[in-house]
Amino acid sequence: MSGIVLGGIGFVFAIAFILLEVPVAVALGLVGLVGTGLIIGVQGAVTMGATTVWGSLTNYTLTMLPLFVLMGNLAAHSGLSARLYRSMSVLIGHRRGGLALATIGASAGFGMISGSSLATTATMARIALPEMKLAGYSAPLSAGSVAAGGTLGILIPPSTVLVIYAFIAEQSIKSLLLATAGPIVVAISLYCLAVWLPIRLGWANAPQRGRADNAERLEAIRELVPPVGIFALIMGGLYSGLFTANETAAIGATVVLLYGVVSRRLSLNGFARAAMDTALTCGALYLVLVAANIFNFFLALSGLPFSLTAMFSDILAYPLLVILLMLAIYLVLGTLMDSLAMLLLTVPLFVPIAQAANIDLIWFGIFAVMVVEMGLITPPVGMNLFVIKSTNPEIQMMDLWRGVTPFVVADLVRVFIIIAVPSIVTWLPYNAF
Amino acid sequence: REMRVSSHEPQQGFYSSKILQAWIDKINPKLSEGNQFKLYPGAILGAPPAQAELVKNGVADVALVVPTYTPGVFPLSGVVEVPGIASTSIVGTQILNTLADEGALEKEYGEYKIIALFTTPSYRFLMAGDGIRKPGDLKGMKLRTPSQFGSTLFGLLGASGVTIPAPQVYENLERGVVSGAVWVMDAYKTFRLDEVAPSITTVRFTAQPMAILMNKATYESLPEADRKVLDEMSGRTNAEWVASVVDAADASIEADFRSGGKAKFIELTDAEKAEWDAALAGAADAWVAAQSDAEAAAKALATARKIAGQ
Amino acid sequence: MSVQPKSLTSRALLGASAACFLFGAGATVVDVVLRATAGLNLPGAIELTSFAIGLGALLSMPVCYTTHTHVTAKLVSELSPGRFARFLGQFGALMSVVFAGMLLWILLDNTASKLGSPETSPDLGLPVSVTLGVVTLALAASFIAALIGFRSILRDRGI
Ligand code: NA
Ligand code: NA
Repeated sequence: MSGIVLGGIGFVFAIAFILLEVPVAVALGLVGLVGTGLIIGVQGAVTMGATTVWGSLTNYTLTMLPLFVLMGNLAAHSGLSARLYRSMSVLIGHRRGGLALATIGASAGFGMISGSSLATTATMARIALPEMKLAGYSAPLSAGSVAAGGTLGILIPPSTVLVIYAFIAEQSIKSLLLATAGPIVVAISLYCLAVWLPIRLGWANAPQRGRADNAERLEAIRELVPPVGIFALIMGGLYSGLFTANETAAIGATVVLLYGVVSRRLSLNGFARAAMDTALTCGALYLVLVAANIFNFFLALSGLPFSLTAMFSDILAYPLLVILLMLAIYLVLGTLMDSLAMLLLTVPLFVPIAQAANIDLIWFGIFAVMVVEMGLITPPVGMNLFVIKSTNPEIQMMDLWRGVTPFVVADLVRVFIIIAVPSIVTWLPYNAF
Repeated sequence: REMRVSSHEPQQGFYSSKILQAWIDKINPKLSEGNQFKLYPGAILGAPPAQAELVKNGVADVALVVPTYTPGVFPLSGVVEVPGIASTSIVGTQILNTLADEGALEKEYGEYKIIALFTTPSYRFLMAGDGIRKPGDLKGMKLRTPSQFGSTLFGLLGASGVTIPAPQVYENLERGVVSGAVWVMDAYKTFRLDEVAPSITTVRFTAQPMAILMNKATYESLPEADRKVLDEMSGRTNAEWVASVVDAADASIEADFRSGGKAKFIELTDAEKAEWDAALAGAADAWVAAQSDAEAAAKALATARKIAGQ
Repeated sequence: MSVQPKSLTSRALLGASAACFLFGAGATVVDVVLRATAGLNLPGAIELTSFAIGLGALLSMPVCYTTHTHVTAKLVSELSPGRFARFLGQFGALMSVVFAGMLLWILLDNTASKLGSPETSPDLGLPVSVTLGVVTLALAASFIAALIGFRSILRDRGI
């Protein structure tokens, strides 16, 4: 049997297993291991499995994940994030969809210290979801805004995905970072629209409250000081060059822990629960990451991704067609694959094609990050959705899928906007110096 | 069948495109139609330190292996890390291939079919700010280290080594976690280090061994005609071709940066060169002392020095 | 997290896992503070952090198997609870046992092949046979946990 057929069959099996509610890690891992064994033999599969397990567990970039989850949990159990949200609800909760808008804004803010969408989502899921539930927001709207807000984590610098793109495509990191500015503005505006429109049309419930009195508002602003202060400390350290993105995670967790202890808002019990929650969440996430890498290896080996891209050679004279075809491929792959795996697989193949079609490679990097980002929230395999599901198991998958739909549409609109007006991406990097 | 060639570098990377793919393009037409090589770049088949194991166990049929990524497995190959030994890839490559011919590397590569044993060009100091001229300028500094022995070398200069994965070197230089790196020009270009480390001190400091290895069982399973083609396109002659490409690329990237004006090249006076030699005088002994088989290490070092003309 | 494991073993594993994460954070913070105050760095800080956090992730995996807190797309059983949930739960738990068993077997085989190897980790110089041995032990715990998880789902009760 040819590898490509095997790859296709594996793909179908993975989807079937996931739909049969086999844990995602188990579905991807089993298909990946068995498929690899069929292609290169048992000894090969054993070696691949062992090196993949080791490589994933000791990956330095991934160390940010548990530490940001820990930071979020410590903040939540110190009441810090809850207070932040309560303050936000006092300040803008009386507006239409105020708390969901606050989720988008807070995700964007958190995205400025987190290079990972998963960490951003995991943190915001803990902070924002209970608050919106308490406020009576419909589950799809609140889950959707957290999942979509989380994708800002890799669009807003620091971004692991952008760094990896810069590496693979040999593009300037500085230019890529500058190129995100325009798209970030477009992204946040469209997400606000994606919150507001369904509420306006009556599809989602977002109870408006009465406007709080001035004393309450002043108190709310006072409560913003510790979280904003901690945030500013971390951001200041990051941007002044005191520490790296990876170190931010450790410092952030430590600073939040110190805040909890010093302010006496973190009880011993709260600390223990935050620690245990972090452990349980991260065990599950690492299992998925290990298995996704195994599955990705199998797909690459099967040659399926290669043959998916082989069709491009005849249409290089039409860049728009190339872009649209790539977008279509990304959307299909994005339904099922891990974002990083997808990027690693496609960029080496797409970049030469883009270059041959005279597409700007800084622009293409932002485009790739955006479509990869969409994969995080498109069902059935959307990692951000799984993160929300694992932190809040009571949320129904159907609600999640319904909730992200407006945001997926917003993402698509954003991609079409940068296709139509590429200078939104390219103006700043080419005119900054 | 399709034979998988694994590279931890992206497809556009220097070794992926200019060495492995170029070799594949040369050899495939000569092989029988049923046995063709295909490049799997971007660490698709496994992380950089896993490459040797992947090819040994047949996950990859051929792989680009960096021996210093797995300390203890390829000890004597590290002789080219000793400062001044491998001034260019050509010299380093002669050393490794002579050691291999003498059987000194049998324990290291005996389980593989060697396609090419070669070295990088020598590493220079790529520094943030105004750069350095003398070994004393490095005192107390932290530098990105290429390997375990690289850190030992920094220790001799009063500096310390920090291990940083290649794609994160830019960020760590930008944030001042390290003040510089020792590396080659192709990495300087690939990772845009001129933006954060514009000063290059042209001390020929150290070099790294490299190997393109083939799974032995795959080789032996091929028909005799294909094996003959492989024999012709592997070993010392092939390694010399690799080394010439590597050296030429290093020189051309250096020339681009020199004419581009973005990087500052610091040339040393003879007196300054002598200071470097003095500071690094203990490096060779330190390398021998770090090896478990000191006698074999001393012998390999003597061979290497003879070829290097020392 | 709504699931709070009751058994002492589960709590001990999660506690050890969290301790690893905290240690990893601590190592990084010490490195940053040393750099900022004394211009020094903790030798092997990056590898130390990576290893600590990888071990933390490994130690919590068994609890994911016993408490069924895997990342799972529960679509069918939510649309039609009761009818399929039981069968799907058993099928998923059985597949988990197979997967956990495969991972254990793979690491056993790989670790056995590395016994006596001179290979060490680049920065800390830890022998690979030891580090891989630790991974193998943790995966053995995961396999046992998957069996316990399967048994508990056959008996239709949580842990
Ligand atoms: Na970010
Ligand atoms: Na998706």
